[in-house]
Amino acid sequence: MGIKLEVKNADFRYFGSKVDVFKGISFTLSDGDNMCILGPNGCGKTTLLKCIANLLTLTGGEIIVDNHNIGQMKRHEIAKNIGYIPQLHTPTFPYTVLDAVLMGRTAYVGLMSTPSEEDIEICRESLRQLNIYHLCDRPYTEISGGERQMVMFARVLAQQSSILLLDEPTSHLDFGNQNRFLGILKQITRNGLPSIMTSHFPDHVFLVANKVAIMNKGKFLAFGTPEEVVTEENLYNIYGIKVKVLQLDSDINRKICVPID
Amino acid sequence: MTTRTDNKKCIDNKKPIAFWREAPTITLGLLLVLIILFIISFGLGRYSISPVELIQIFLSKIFPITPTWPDIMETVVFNIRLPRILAAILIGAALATAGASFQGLFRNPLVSPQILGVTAGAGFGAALAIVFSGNPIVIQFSAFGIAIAAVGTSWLISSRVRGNPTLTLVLAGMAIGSLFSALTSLMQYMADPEDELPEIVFWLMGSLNSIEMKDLFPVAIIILVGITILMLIRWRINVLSMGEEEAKALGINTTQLRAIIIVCASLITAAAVSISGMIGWVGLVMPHIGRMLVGPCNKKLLPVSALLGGIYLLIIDNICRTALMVEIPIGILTAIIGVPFFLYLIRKGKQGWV
Repeated sequence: MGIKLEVKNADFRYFGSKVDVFKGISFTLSDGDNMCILGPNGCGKTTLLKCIANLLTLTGGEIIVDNHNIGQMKRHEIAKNIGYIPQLHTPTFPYTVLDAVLMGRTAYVGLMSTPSEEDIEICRESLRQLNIYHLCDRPYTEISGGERQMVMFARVLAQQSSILLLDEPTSHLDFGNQNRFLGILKQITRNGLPSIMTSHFPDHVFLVANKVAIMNKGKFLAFGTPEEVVTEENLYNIYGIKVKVLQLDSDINRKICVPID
Repeated sequence: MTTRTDNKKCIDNKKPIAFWREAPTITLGLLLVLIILFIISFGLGRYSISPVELIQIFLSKIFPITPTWPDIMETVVFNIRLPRILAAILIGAALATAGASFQGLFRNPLVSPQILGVTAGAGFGAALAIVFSGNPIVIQFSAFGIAIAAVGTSWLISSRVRGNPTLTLVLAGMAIGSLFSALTSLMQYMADPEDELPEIVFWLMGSLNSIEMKDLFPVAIIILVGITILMLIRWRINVLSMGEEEAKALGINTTQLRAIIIVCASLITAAAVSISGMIGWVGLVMPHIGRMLVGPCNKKLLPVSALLGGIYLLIIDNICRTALMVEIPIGILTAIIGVPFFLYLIRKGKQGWV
């Protein structure tokens, strides 16, 4: 399996701040990997994703994508390699859903041109893939938060990057859509598009991830497979509540987390 | 995924949009309106020229027709009306295009082209030149030069501040705008109340009264080049309007794109106001009307805004020069006619700020 992303000893602190947001983070991401980052609010998950997308610049260490240091790549080259869905998104103008998804093609559209028919067809295809093609002509300011999150996912698929970064991609989705979304994500990941997502639900780890990092106070407390990492002890350490990790019966064959405090 | 409705059914049920509401038709329609208005405008004015004479005068420039009309008629058409009509179209298009671009860049539909202090700078430049020189060419150059200097200063200040680049730009622009407004007041205070002061006041109210072909030429080049560049990058303004971080993640070099937009929009605004004086309202409102017609996507919006701006300012200028025996300052009429019309539209429109 080819290594797609390498994070080596990454440190970050905001300009003028004396506190590191995170320090000494290292990991690799290979084809077919879905890595899930769990951690309490403010532990640095989002900042780490932003650094990997080069929206923030590391203060130490390096990030290697496709054998290139990300700090030396041009914006459109990074965008062809790394797709990123932000956690918060505040829309201004009521672009149609299709126009919003078309923005995913920016890296492929020349400075002085507009998207081609082919770009539009790619966007339609990614909307179809997520079963939201019927939203096509709706103003994306007038659809629900959950639908907008799906539109953002369609946009990142249209970007055709080789890695996906998803910052709490399920936060606005209803119970059914969370699970459908994770199902699609798992399928996409296994088909060769590795992804890193942050989540607040340890159950999501068992649904999609094959790698988990538990992050607290800017460090990885644990890193490994879901079975190794999502333990009652680790969950107590980061969230401060007692949790039972139970094995479901043989039909489902998956673990679930139940808070018991 | 979000609904369980069958996709196919949704699409089949979609009502087809009537062809006259499609963006290409609207754009072509507006272009046609502008061309008709352009021709009609030659016939308007105190010196009346019949449509037949007008056609003959134009044809005589191409075909050898023996003039049956007085020489003065040709002078009126080519030396007085033509530059003024062209100026109205160019300035209207420039202000509306700059307004639409800035609204996308600053992610705010309340932004107008003067956001970075460009018109305040032009006003001071004009007032300064009126007080110290009085030569029309000097006034035009001074207005243009100081307008650009004002934007440059706003930009320089914002580039030295860490933080959200759009926010710091707006703040710097507001500060610089206020500074130059105060300096303009100072010039008015110092000006000779007999002749200089009225000239400054008249300049600030805006007019296309004294424009000649030779003044228009350099301005037209700047405006046409600026508008062309903005038209070429217009789709990227969509992406930029999603916010700094998202635009970067989508593959945009935001610093470079922002620079292109600011330079082009400021240059065309400065060039426009340097010959027309202050004309407010066009740059703010035409993009709104454009959004009501074709939606917010800048790929469609920018051409439509430019056409609307040209049409609107040409209509207003025609009223300015024909309605009363004296010339009405255009900056006054753009608002007096534009505001009620705009309020009517937002009342009728289905979406508040679009």
